Amino acid sequence: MSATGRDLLIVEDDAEIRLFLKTALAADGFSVSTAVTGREAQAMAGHRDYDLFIVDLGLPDVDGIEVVRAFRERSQAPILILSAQTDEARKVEALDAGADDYVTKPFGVGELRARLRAALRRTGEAATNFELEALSIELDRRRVLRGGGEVHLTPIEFNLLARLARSAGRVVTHRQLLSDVWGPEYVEHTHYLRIYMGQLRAKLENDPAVPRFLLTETGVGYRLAAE
Amino acid sequence: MSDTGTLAVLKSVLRPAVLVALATLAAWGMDGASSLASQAMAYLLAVVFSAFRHGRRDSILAAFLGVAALNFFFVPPRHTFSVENSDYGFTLLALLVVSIVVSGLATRLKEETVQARRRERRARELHALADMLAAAEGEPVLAACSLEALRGAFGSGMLLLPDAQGRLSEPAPEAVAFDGKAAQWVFDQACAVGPATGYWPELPRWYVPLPGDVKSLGVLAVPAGLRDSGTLAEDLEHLQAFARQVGLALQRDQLSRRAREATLAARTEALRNALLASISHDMRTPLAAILGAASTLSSQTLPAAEQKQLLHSIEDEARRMTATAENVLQLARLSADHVSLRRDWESIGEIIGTVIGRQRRRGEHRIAARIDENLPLTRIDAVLVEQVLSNLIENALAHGGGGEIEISTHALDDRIVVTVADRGPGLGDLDPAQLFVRFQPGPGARRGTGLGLAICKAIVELHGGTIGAANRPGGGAVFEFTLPRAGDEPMVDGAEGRK
Repeated sequence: MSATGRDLLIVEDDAEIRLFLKTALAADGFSVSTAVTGREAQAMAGHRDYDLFIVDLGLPDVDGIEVVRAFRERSQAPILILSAQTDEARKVEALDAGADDYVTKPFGVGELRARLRAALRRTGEAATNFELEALSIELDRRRVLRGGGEVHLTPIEFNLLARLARSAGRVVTHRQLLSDVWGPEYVEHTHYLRIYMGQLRAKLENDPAVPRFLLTETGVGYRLAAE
Repeated sequence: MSDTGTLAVLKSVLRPAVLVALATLAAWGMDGASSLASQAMAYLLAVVFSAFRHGRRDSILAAFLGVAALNFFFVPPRHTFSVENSDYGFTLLALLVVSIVVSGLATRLKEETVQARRRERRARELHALADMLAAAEGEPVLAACSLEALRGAFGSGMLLLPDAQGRLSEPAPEAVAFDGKAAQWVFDQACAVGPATGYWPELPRWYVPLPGDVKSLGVLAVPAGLRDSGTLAEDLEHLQAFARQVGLALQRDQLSRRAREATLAARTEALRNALLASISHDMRTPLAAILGAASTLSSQTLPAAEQKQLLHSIEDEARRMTATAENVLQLARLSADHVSLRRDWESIGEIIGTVIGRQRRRGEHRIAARIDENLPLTRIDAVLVEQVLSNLIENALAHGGGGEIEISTHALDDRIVVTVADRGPGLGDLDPAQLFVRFQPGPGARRGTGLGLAICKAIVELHGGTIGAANRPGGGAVFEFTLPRAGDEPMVDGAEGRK
């Protein structure tokens, strides 16, 4: 992983979790800074450009979502949020405020690393292609191959898949998908997603009932598996 | 003296005078044909009539006027007040005495009749009050009933009840001449004040406490002397009888409310204890495993393979505790007063796939799904329904005897049915309904059972569905839940319809 030398800011008020994150991610090669409060984090972000942020949503002083907004205003670096609650509405709010992905506490370091990899990939090469196992998506040529053979997709099916592929490995909220694929006036039409995801899975998955690629994040959105 | 007073005096003089004049006319008519005794009878009649109609004072005046008139007009020598014969003198005396006695008797008879009627009316009022109070439940209803009866009986009145601090409520602003201080004193001292009570008789109102077991429960405030009949003392007595009845009814209501609250508190307490027992039970087992594994790792040098195994066990058990914590959190959320479901059009098949996928990524491959491809979308809270499936699957994994777990789903006209079946030892002779009762760690309670299944039941029922369990034909247990269908699936517009 291309972590070496990258500047990472962790905003987390719980000392144990801060220690665990710092230890694990410093070992991966990140140059880790930590902040305990939202204000401290915003001050630090004002003095230095970070390549990646990890923000706990439940901070003691300011709402984590505000911290996400503040970071996003000054920086395009990926933001990963840590959410203690199982409150999906808060996650969606943070994602729509500019966060790239989330991890729900408690989480394992494996899950965290996968999310970080996906988040960092975004800032890397402008994705033109997606490949995982038998599935290959050629965004520029608007082609999808499964096991080498071309799969016929309708324009909307392709647009939906392409939107997920551009954020491969990262969650995309219902709202973002509906707005980007159908248009802003369709953000409430979640049933479109259920129907089109069903069609895409039927065409792309080996076992559409238990998908390998097109993953559901219940109550939040969808994710195209990246690894 | 006021005008009405003058009028009353004039009336009490004129009425007997008119009656005696009428009696004189009658005696005049009889003159010559009848004896003086018969003429005296005409006057006696006038006295009796006066006693019945107008009372003692009128009738005594009538008696004297009558004797004077008889003497003047009919006793020889006529047109003088002198009496020539002692016989006539005796007649006049007898008329006077009989008139006075009869007047007394008639007046008392009348008074007794009136009093009997008044007593009857009071008894009727109290009876009606008792009937109304017996049918009423809850303090506001009792108060309204009491007030209605009070106003019916006394024409006007107020019922003042204390708040939690023992302060009486303020009466309505239209209450004139209301003395809040007096009312509060009456409430605090449980002692009536006002006319004929011996305390503050100059007050225009009575303030009577509603007697309670230990202290008064409120105060009745009624203007004194509004009733058209009866003495103040009688009215006061009646008012106190009222107050006793209202007090008793309030007391009865308070007692039954306290009894209800006590029962509820006991039940809540029992539930909380069962919940705590269930949580600590669900937590203790994985904690023991984690502590054991961690302390072994830190105190001994183990071969790499064994180290790895212990670390795995720590991860697994921590995950199990996470699931318990999740359930506790969900339970708190579901127990809140206003649980709002975040319903949206969802695919149950998709939710099942998500849960199975998560288990597979953890290395759990014993779960198979049979999902009807044409399952309709329905409006549910996907996060909560996912939790139902997770809990049922965890339960089947823990108690399913290690065999394959089968999830299947199909749609009926009005609902969607989901089943989770295992090939474990089954339910035995356990009552299936008891499995879903909140934290019932009774005999046969199995690890993780209480909380998870109780939450499943709560979530399913919030959606208007049902949940149940049974022994599976051929061995094992099968859990089934249903969710209502939300009418017609919404349409997708544009050229690309659903295929």
